[in-house]
Amino acid sequence: MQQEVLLQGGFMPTVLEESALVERAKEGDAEAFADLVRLFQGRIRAFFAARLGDPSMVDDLAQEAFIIAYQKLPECDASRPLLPWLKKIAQYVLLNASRKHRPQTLDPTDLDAVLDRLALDQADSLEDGDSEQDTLEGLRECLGKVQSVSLRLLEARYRHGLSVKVIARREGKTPVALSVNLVRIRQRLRQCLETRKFRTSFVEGTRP
Amino acid sequence: MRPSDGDRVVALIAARERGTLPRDEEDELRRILEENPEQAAYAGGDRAIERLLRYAGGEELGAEEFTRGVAARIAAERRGEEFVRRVNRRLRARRLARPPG
Repeated sequence: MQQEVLLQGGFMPTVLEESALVERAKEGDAEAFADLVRLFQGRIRAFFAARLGDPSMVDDLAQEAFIIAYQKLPECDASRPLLPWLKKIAQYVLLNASRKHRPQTLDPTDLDAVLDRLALDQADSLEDGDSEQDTLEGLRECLGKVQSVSLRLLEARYRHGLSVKVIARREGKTPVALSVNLVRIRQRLRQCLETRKFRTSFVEGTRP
Repeated sequence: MRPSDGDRVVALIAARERGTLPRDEEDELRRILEENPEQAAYAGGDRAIERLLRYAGGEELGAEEFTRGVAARIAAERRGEEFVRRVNRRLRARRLARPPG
């Protein structure tokens, strides 16, 4: 699973390098824009991954966000960090997509709708603001810390898409015990991501 | 002893994941989430993590493939725009060439 979560890290530019890339991209340098996509794709994909119920839409919408960014490059202020600007575009793409795909008849008090709203609120808190690492990289780091048994369960559930019942049978557990176990593992992953976020912001905050 | 809201939410989310949450317990979960912001944050965070895991567990594109995909889509849009411009130019030219009336 860890290998599956791997997204290419690449180098992280300084503010000056980032601004130089934006300037070059604005002048029509396609390679400079491709470098910007390489740099920010992980964080933009993580943005959509935490907010979309359908994982198959993530890459498509993340690419759409970069296409709009390309079209709007003339409006981009190269002296400011690019990520907040990209996230605003991603937010717009997300809003449009949810308007298109959400059934009009869905009751807002439906449990799914309630949980979706709560997930959107919490997705922000999982992200590192404007830090260098994306949430998916953080998740990979946290998966490296969970016990191998938990990793096996996560792999069965999220990589192979097996039902709780099937995994429980394989593991010799009751479905009740196994499903509670999965909720607890996810909770530990969340705590790990939040601790990591605190650590990152603390380190960034103390940077001279 | 009555279980705390926290334990109850874990049990209800787990039941939902097994597909065995009856209507009255669904209402109970909704009520706890409305009344207890801490549990609402817990449930929302759980769903966000679950989504990240589902995406990470799938066959996502590598960074290079993703970047090439963006470049290809931009190029396709440009070709599309160029095609539309060409068609419009031709239509304009035909209109202009047509005798008035």
